[in-house]
Amino acid sequence: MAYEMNFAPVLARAPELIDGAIATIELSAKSICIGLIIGLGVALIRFNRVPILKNIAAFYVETFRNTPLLVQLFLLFFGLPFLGVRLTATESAIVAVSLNLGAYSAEIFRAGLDAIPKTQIEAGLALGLSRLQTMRYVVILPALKVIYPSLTGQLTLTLLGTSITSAISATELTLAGAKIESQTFRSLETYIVLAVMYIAITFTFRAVYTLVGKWLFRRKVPKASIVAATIMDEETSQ
Amino acid sequence: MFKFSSFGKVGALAGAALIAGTALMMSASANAQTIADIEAKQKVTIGVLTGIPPYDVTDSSGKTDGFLVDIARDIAADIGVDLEVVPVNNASRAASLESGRVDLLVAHMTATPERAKIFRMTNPYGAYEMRFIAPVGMELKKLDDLAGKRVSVPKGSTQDAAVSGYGIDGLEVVRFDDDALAMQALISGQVDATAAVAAVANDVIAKRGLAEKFEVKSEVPIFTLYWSMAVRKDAQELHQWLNNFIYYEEITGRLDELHNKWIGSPIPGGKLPTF
Repeated sequence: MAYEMNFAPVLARAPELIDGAIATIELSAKSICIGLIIGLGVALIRFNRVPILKNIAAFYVETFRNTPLLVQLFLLFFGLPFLGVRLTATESAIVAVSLNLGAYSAEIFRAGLDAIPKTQIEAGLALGLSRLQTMRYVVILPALKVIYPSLTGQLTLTLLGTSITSAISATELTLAGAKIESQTFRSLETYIVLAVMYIAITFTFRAVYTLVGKWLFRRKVPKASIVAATIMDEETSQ
Repeated sequence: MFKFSSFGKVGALAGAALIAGTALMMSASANAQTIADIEAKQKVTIGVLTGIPPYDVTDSSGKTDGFLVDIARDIAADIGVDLEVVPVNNASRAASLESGRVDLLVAHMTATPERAKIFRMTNPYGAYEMRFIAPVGMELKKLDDLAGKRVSVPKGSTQDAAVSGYGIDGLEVVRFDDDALAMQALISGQVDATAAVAAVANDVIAKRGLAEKFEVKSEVPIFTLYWSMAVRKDAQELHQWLNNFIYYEEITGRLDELHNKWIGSPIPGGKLPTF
């Protein structure tokens, strides 16, 4: 059965789709920033075995990693009002997606932190760096570098996951598309346009991750090696 | 529930596929198309919509009962044959009739022009009213009272189309995946009002003990939709018999009596229209 594609009714609603895309970008950016802060904090608490807090952190990670995002959204949006806290759909979406990312990224951060050999930390301390300096330069940055690819992969999943928040009527791209679909009956065309828009957004975000990565890990190798590399370069170029 | 607009497409597709697929299998004698056919097989098979309390209930033995089943019982009694009730839902009802699984549908179907192309739709036997449901204290006497309010609706439903089309300043339509979530949004206080079938909303309010908080705002009508029975296109005699049956059930007060028994009020919308 031949299906005749007709994108005109969908493209006529471009302003709504663009508003939706902007809302998705805002929602994702905010949730990613908050989620990463939560994730790093939780991972450091567990890495440094802070008493009591580490148990709370473990409970949080297990709870959020073992329940669906949709259920978390429903509980926040429909459930919290009965406890006297009323969040709007967008606020509920940011809180749920941030907490969800926090739990997942905490495990990724922890994997990176665990990959740092104890001797490296001892070396940092032996060089006279303070505990905080050691944490920052000798533990967190190298750990981040190890897990950076899997972390950015998780961030892409989080961005795409914001589409689920349309279920609680949070304004974002999928909701805008669902509205257009229900009014134009052009389902296939609508979702093809949505797919293209999501690809554009995720590629933009990934470009940002690459730039941030370049800036974060700009000091690639210790100076001594650079000198050695320069000498070798000169030798080979001659 | 009640997504008539989206149902139209699916129904038409399913209908077309089934017509093609079953045309060969269906011989005139296999499917009762006339009263005489039904009398000959001593049984009428009626598809009844389920899953929308208070219009239907499932008893402890899992059997379905309710307003529509009572009407089906009357049909069988008046023809003078046994009754077989086949529970159907919005998605399956058209296919059930088209494939010959049921002789007719008593399934809350509104006689849309699309459906009338596929089936013969009878005169209406009942109706439901779509109304706003809001907190008891909220003033809602005219549509303009909704200015600046948030109203939840099921995505793509008839009430979505209606409320979105009012063009009231500052009225925000908040869309959810189904009727239950749209209602829950009101109960959780996430919206100021919701648009729903009045009888269904009243049932939810009563069953969940929310009568002090929420009420159906009857002064602002959204629309009233009438239900027709449906038979296959070639069942002209059965179609006309059902029209007579409905006329007689209405003037004898039987329809109101049954509606009163299950929903607690007479059929809304006054005198039933005839086509």
